[in-house]
Amino acid sequence: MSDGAGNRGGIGLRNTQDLVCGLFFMAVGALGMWVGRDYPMGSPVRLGTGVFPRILCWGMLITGFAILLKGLFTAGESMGKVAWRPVILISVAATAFALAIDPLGLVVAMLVMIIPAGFAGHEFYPKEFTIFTVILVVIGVALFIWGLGMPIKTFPWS
Amino acid sequence: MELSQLASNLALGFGVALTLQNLFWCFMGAVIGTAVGVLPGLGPVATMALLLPVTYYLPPEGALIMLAGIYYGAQYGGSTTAILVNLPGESSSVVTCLDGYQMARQGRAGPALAIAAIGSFFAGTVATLLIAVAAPPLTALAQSFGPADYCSLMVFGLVTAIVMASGSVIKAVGMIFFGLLLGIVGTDVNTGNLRYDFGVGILFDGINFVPIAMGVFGINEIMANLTNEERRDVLSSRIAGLMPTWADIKESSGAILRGTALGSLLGILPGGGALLASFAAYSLEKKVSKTPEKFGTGIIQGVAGPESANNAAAQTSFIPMLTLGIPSNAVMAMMVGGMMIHGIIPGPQVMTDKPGLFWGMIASMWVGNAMLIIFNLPMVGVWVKMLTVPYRLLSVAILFFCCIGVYSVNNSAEEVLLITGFGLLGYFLIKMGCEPAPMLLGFILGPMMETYLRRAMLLSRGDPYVFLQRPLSLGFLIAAAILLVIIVLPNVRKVREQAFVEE
Repeated sequence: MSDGAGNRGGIGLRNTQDLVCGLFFMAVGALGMWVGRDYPMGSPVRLGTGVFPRILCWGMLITGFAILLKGLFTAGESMGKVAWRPVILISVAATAFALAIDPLGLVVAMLVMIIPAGFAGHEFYPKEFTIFTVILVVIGVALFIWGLGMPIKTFPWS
Repeated sequence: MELSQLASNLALGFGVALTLQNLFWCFMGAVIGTAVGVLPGLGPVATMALLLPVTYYLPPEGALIMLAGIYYGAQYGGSTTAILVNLPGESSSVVTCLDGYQMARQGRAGPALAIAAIGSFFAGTVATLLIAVAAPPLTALAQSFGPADYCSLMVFGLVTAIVMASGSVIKAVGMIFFGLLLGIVGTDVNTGNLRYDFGVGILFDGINFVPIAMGVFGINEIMANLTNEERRDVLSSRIAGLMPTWADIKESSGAILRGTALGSLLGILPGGGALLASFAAYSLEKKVSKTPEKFGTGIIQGVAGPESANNAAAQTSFIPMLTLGIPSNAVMAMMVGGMMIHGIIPGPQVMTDKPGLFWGMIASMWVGNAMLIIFNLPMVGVWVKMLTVPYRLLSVAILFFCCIGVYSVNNSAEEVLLITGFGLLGYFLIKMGCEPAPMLLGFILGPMMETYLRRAMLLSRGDPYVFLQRPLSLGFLIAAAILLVIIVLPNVRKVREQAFVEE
């Protein structure tokens, strides 16, 4: 983080963890309020759909605001670097599995999941990875299709 | 509580727990638990989330016995890694590293492992008995609760969870609100109105427990663990002389007793559990020791105390869940999830309606502990071998089991997409310094709390003072308020911070 503008000695703006967290909680609270603006409140005897969500959204807004204030006026930790490589590759892997499993079957879904996930670590050894992939696919098919009899296709054409 | 009744309850329980089938599930749970306990970077919460879909295929007794086994099994396994590799296999074994690894370096890995196991077994036995003794009166008490009392009890539980959470207090509050909010997504059961569905079909019935738990704990952990370089120096020397000497046992017996007592107590409190218990036990041992300066150099009490405490707490944390139906930590939230998969609503009625399940599960905990002490020590070699599987491969396998596991619950590919979303959410929440455990508690309690709130208001004809007029409800609210005030006081905050940063 660069030294922030303003004259708080830069302390406040280094506390990005609290700043972002406060803003995030407030955003969730505000979104909840806005989406739920038409939820009926009912009567005290018969509380409507909107009562509990409103209580919770106010809770989010207030705690979010408090965290934001804390972030502005006290020292704290910065957000730290996001490890984009594993975050993106693991997300891609799980998403690919989700999209492939119904139309293309288990084997293809496993492959499109295993390959990006395999590159998510710090090291990659082609031979080890190939053997591992074959073993995992065999285990997957044996356990879930032959063993548990899950109603999934094995191959795209089966 | 009459002794004969206790005996007949336990007899009923052992009758269930000792059937061949349930022995098998208990064994499976304990072994899987030990394995994930040994492996750093895969915790009991994620594993239970992973196996929830599988338990769908089991009878309810077998499912819950296995899930319980994973939790206390992990406490045994975690100590193995802590002692041999100086890595906490489980977060609750962090303090075991301090003296356990030093003992191993002095060639005393055997006694350290043995004392950890013996302490855990003793603590497990006491805790099992404690559950058996405490459950019936607490259940009877719970049956006199009205909706207002339940609502206030949940407030109290959530406030305690905030106090016990290891990070920032105010962030834990926010996470609970967030969890409660996520919990009420979907159709409002009381009015049939849709809430926060964003027009997305899979949200009409609410967010399922499995994808949220697996995303926030499974996927998120994979992402976080892959960030760190791997470094595992497994102690290569052979473990000689497994058996502790008589002197070892004598030295650690006090620590085991104190750890068991402290752990049992901390486990019952909402938000407490194995992690807090082991930290507290280590500080306690240091305080009562005549040679506190020797801690950290391989002193056996430093292993015996925390290891007994974490196992005791792991088990007594079942008490509020079993008797009141209120989960006190993320693992118990998983257990509630496991019960709901089988259509069992957790609460005081479980003991009266399904005594076999209730007592069977309690008895199985002792059976599981006995199995663990028998097979764990001889199998240390196998566990150590397992540590040589590199995480870059393990992570892929875990990811696969997460995906297929979520898919198998409803054969729904959309729910697999949800775990990606919740994994990312969990990752960024941790980046913001927020612990996900309180969120999961809120998620489970959200719908329950709303229902009780509505019922209480209906019964009181719209008078909100009902929460202050019922003595039980008032008591819970006062206790919650006191806790909140205490936590804000600066010097208490300091102690709390210290308890978690015990070096």
